[in-house]
Formats: sequence, C-alpha cells, structure tokens
Amino acid sequence: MAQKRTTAVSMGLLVPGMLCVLVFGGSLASIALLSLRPGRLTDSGIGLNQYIRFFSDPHYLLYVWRSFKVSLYGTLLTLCFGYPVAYLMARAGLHTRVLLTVLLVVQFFTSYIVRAYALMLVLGNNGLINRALLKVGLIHSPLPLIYNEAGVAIGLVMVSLPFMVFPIYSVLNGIARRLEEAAESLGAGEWQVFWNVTFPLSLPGVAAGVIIVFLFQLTSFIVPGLLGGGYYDMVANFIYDQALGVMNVPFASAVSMVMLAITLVLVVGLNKLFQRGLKDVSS
Amino acid sequence: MFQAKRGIPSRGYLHKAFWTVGLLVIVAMMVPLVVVLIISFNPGNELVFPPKGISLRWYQNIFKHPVFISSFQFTMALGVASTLVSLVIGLSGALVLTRRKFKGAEVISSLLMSPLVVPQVVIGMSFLSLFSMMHVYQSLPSLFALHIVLTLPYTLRVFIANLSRCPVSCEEVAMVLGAGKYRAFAETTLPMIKPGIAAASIFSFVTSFDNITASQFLIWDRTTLPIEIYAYITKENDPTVAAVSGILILLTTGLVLAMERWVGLETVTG
Amino acid sequence: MAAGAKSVVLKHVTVRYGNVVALDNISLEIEPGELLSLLGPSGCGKTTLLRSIAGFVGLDGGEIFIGGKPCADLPPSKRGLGMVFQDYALFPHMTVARNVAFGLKMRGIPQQEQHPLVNKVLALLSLEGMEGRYPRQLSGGQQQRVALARALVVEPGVLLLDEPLAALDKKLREEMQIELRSLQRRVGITTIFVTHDQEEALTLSDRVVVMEKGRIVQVGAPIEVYENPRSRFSGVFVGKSNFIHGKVVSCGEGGSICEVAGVGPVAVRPEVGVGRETQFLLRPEKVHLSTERPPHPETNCVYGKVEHRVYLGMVTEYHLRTDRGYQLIAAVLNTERAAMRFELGESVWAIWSPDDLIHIPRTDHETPE
Repeated sequence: MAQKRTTAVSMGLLVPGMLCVLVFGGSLASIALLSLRPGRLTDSGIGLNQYIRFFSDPHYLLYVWRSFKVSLYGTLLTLCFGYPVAYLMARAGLHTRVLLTVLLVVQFFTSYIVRAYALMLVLGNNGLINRALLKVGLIHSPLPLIYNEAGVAIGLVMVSLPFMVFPIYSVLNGIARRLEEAAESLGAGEWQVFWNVTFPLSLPGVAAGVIIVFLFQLTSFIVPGLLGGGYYDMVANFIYDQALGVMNVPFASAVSMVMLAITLVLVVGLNKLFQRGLKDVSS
Repeated sequence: MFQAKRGIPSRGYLHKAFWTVGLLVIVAMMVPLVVVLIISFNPGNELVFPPKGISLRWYQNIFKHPVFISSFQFTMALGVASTLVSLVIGLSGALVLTRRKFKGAEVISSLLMSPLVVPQVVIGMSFLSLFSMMHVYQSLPSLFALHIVLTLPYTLRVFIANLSRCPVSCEEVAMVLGAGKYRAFAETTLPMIKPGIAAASIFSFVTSFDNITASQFLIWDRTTLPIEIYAYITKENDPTVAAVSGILILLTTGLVLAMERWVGLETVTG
Repeated sequence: MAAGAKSVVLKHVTVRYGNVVALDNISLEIEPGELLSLLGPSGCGKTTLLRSIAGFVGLDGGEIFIGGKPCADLPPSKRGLGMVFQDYALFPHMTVARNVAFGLKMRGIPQQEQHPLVNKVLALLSLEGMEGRYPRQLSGGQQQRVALARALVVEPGVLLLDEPLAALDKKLREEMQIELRSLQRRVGITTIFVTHDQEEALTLSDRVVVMEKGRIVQVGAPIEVYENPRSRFSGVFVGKSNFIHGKVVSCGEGGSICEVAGVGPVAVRPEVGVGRETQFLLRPEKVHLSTERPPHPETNCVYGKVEHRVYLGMVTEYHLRTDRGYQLIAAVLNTERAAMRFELGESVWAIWSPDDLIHIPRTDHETPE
C-alpha cells in the first residue's frame, strides 16, 4: 500500500510540470488553428490560404532566404572566432581561465538589447570604428557597417559567440592531456596533434555549438531589428510586423508555423547528421 | 601559460595563433560594452574620444523618464516570481525524472525542455494568440505564464544534473538510521543541491529579465525594462539609454563576479 | 625487428616545482638494450624522471643525452622514443590499426608501406584480427598490448613505460611481465620502466634504480639490490626485512660482537670499531626456526613466541616476539613436512648466520625504533 501511495505522490510532483507543457502546447495549438483561418481574424472557415499566400510570393520567401544566408555564413564565422577562444580557455592556467570565463559569462548574461545597442555605438557612422578610421585618415567617408547586411552579420556573430564557445570549451576540457602527449611521443608535431587528436575529439562540442548558434541566428529578432534598421529584416521581424504592425494575425501565425517547422526539421536533421558522423568518437 | 624551463619547445605557432585570435575576439567582445559605459558619462551628445569630461547628466536624465524605473521594478518582480515558481516546478519534475524510471520519461523530459528549441518569436506569437482567444488582455498573468515556461527548462536541466549526482542511497541510509522520509530528504539531498539551487535561480532570473522577443508580444498594460530600452533606442537619440545600459552592465558584472565567488560558473560554461 | 637501441645518459638532472625538488641532481647511465626499472614509492620522482627523458618536463639543471646526443632543444616528437602510459592513452576515435599506424603516419610513411609493418607488430603482440576494433571494445590486457604495439612499430631507440601493468589484475599482470621481458629481449630495445611494485622490478629488470624523494638511493642488478641494500630505505622498500642495531662491544679477527637490545650478543662479519653504533639488515628467509635448542645459544639467536602467523601459499611468515620485546619476522618455505609447523603462542628458537647480516652503511642510519 505504501508503494502505491509514494508512486502517486511522485507522479503528483510531475503535475505542475505537465501543466506548463499543456499551456505551452495549447498556445502552439492556438496559432496552428489561427493559421488555418483563410481571411481576417474575425472570419470563419478553414483553409490553407495563408500558407499558399506565403509560399507563392517571392517577397515573402525573400525573408526566409535572407535569414538562411546570413545565418549560414554567420555560423561559420562564429565557429572560426569562437573555437580559438574555447581552446585558449581550456588550455589556460587557472587565473586566466577564471578571468576569461567571467568575461564571457558577463557577455552571456547581458541582455541582447544592451549588446546590440553597444554594437550600434561601435559600428555606426558616428561610431567608434568610423571615427577612429576617419581621424587616422584611412578612409574619407564612413564605412556603412550598420543598417545593412554587414551590420546584421557582425551583430549576429558577436552576440552568439558565447553560445559557440561554451559547448566547445566543455568538450575540450574533457580531452585527456595524455592523449595529446601520446601523439607527441609518437612523433606528431603541434599541428599534427591538433588535427589528428584534439580537433576530432572536440567535434561533439563543435556540433552542439553549430546547431545552437545556427538556430539562434536564423530566428533572431533584435539584432536584425536594431542593426538592420529595417533594411535587413529577417523572418522573426517579418512575423512581428505582420502580427502587431499590420494586424494580420492569421498570416503571422502561418508564417510562425512555417518557421517552427523549419526549426524542428533542422534540429532533428542536424542532430542526426552529426550523430552519424560522430559515431566513432565516443569516450 | 608558457613553460619557462628548457626543453619544452612544443608550445609553437599553433598555440600562439590560437592565443592571438582568441584574445582579439575577446577584446572585440568587451570593447562595445566599455564604449557604452564611456558614452554614458559623456557630457555631450556625441561619441568623442577621448571623452571631454565626466558627467552624470544622462544618469540623472533617467529619472525624467519614470517608465525606466517602473519597468525596472516590474521586470525585477517578474523575474523573481517566475524564478521561484520555476524552481519549485523544476525541482519536483527533476525529482521524479531522476528517481523514478518509467516509460515516457524521455518524452516528458523533451516536452518540458521544448521551449529551448522553439524560436522566441513563435513562442511570443503563440502566447499572444492563446491569451487573446481567452480574452485575457493583461500583461501580468500572460507574462507570468510565459516566463515560467521560458525559465523552466533551465531550472529543470540544472536540477537533473545535480540530482543525478545525489544517489537515493544517501536518503535510504538516513532512513535506516531513523529519519522519516521527508526528514531524510531535507537532511541529505537538499544540502547537496544547494549550489544547484543558486545556479538555477541565477540562470532562470537572467533568462526572464533579459527576455524581449517573446515578451514584447504580450505588452498591453505593462512593459519590461529591456523592451523600454528597445523602444527608446528606436525613438530617441540621446545617451540616456547608454546610462541605463551602463547600470545594467555593471549590475550584470557584479552578479557574475558574485556567482563566480560563491557558486562557480560551471553551470553556465559546462 | 632489431631496433637501433640507444643509450640514455643523465647528468646532474634537476627538476623543481616551485619549492619542491622533484629530481635532485640525478646522474645515471643506461646501457643500450638493457631493461632498467625505476622503483620507488609515490612521489619519489620516478615518473618525473621518465617524463623528463621523454621531453614533457623541462629541466632546471643538468643534461640528458639520448644516443649520445643532447636533447635539451628537442621536443618529445623529435626524440625518437616510444612511450606507453599508465592508462594506455589509446585514441578513442581510431581503430586499433589506425592507432598503431599513427607513428608511421607522422613519419610520412605511405599507406601501402604502413600495412605490413602494422601487421607484423600486431602479430608480435598476438593481436591478429583486432585491426578493425575500437579501444572501447578491447579488454584491459588487449588495450595494453595495442599501446605497446603503437610504441614499438616505429622502432624507437628507447622505450619508456610508465607503470603500464598497474591497471591489470594480478594474474594477467604476472603473465604480461613475462611476455614483456621476453619481448624486450627479442627486440633488444633499451627500456626504462617505472613501477612502485618491487616484485615487478625484480622480475623484469636487468638493473633496478631505487629512488626516494627525488634522489637515486641505489642502482644495481635485482640480486644486488635485494641481497646488498646500501641503505635502510632500499632494504625496507625492496623485500621484507628485520633490522638489528646495536653497539659494538668487541672486535676481533673475522668480525665483531655487537650488543643488541632485546637480543643479546650478535656476531657480525665486518670489523667495525668498538663503541660504534651499527645497523644490520636480516632477511626473513635467512632466519631458521627450530624447537630444539641451538648448539651456541649465546649469540646470533633469540628465543621467542609466535605472535602472528601468515600463510602465503609458498611460504609461511612467522612474527616472533622475545620476552625482552624484540620483534622478528621469519619466512619458512612450505615444503610438505614443514607447512604450518609452528603454532600461535608456541615458543621457538630463531637462528641466523653472521654471514647473512647485511651491514647498512652508517650515513643512512635512522633513529632506531
């Protein structure tokens, strides 16, 4: 009897969690429903009009294309810049490592809006970079680093760097120094040790970082909003404008569902892709 | 960093290359934040180097915009409240998931973590539509629900990680020694997850405080500070927002330093 | 597979970590083709010594020569060594074949040429058929042999082994010790072996280096180190021992007489000056037990009670205590008739010959217990 009671209590502990799942699921279900409204919010009926409208207009698909484009090379750049940071954090002495970790976590905890605004101050026409270059005389008119694709790309990379560094750092930390020493004792020079031993073993971290960063950049709102200034809206901005600007909630819901579908496909697909490639690398 | 002894020339070019790039990137990340702080003390409106002087003008200007203060209070309250609820739900969920093996545990775990995967815009959009359908056009309940859903994955994750390291056998030993079920939990497991509680709360609070994209869909009668900052940037052009940002940066730095000192940053970095 | 076996010479090697001296003025010459063990307790510096030969630890003083060439500026990858670590350090993301071929790949040897070399060394270590497996699929003994194969395939001049058998269970370890020894003899490679297990050192080595606190205490063949320990530490660390310390009371032809507390007069071979304090080591197997009174009971024998008895299969150890408080260990071989001959509490005579008393030099005297 006591067994049954404790099981009930245990399962009871799950109830609040399940409530949250219900609320969340319910909200997703509600936009799924709304997306099937063929016309305005107050109209009735069911149809795929909203979806058809989205997919048939190249202007709309442009948002998707743009988001993918900038996220693809943005993620690559983030990887190139983030890997060295993770590497030096993993290899640094204790005090250096603590300092670097603090700096990175400060970045991570600072709100996106503050970091995006800070980048505006650096990249803007009157910003740090342009003023410095103008003063030194390297350029004669301000470089357009903001309110365009370049600004958005730079912003995305800077903001998502911590997301790339942490998973890679975590995995690199776990690689036994012995393995690298063994490779060295067998004649491997520095670069060979890295390429043959360290890097392959760090790939699970790289995979995790790439997935997180790519999804983050793809669905980003604030960075394209502030640093794009309306000239480089991505999918997230488009949805917001449709929902609260133009007040076309069903259409916005449909685009949201499309975005959700893309995200899920990517998460599952990328995970499977990396699993297969990493099958041999297990501890 | 570099070996001072003879005979270890294995710290070569690759090492130096990584260090150079890595340090440059870190500097590049910190410079914008420093710039914000410098601008916030600028007496004038412009970005001038070196700054022409130090002035608290823009900090004082904050008070001329009471919406900053009120939204700050609201955001803090919202953060604290959703964190507390999230801690309770996360802890209870983690207890069940780590201690009991049952079919569907994986599925339930994934469901509870799902807000991490869904794009912020979609979450915001979906909460907007849910609460509109229920004709609840109020920020407080909707934002509260939203923030709980957003922060729950973080508390759950931290507690699952922590509880996996506290075997049930500790509680069982306590019970054999005479402690009742709840007493055993309180005396053995609870103290062991204390650092986890601290880390989970900080993570959760920061997630709630910083959230903009999803929250902005639910701004009817109340706003949060980050959203106000966003609005201000798009409308006005003076460094008051730099002052607000500066305060936030300093608060964040203080928080991180305190966390490093007393809790450790492993929960964040992994 | 005749390797170009190299000699290793250390001259006044010193390594410091902050205030701690890990290696204190170590000088050692290792002959080509010999198997040398570095033996000592944890923290004595044996692993530090091995790693400094490998090049992973920098020197604060002294020089190391491999094959006659100084290697101060050579990184580990250029010293032409083979190394096997305690936890084998096999690359988890590579198959056995790729692990073993790694050193060849680093030397730029093309794939076609790698195959026969890899197969040859795998056969040498009885690992045929394992080429395609991953380290996690192998047993401890197999992993150890892969680590050896990987180190040997490049035909290094010197082989370094850092407690390679520590992770194996006892039976397997003993088998591997014999295999390792015969392998080393066959290949003829200079081998330096780190262990804290003195039995292992005695089994495997041509010479043993006993280390304590960063210093070399004694170097010699196993029989030399066991039968003639040059310090109390060597005597205690290698094998079991009884210590006899006393004052010389008379000195004559062929020996001296010492007065030992709790024992009585003890005749010793070396002629040590009268009045001096001396210390002798007596191995338990050199102590003979008997219930019959010996012919000369005044010297080199004691009468005591069996306080403790340990049956070890091949021998039985008897721990005796005399009524004057002196404690002695005797080891008796368990031949058919002699097994477990004496009972607990029984009183027996313990007799030894003056020739079996090993004189411990005065500089290493410690305060007698």
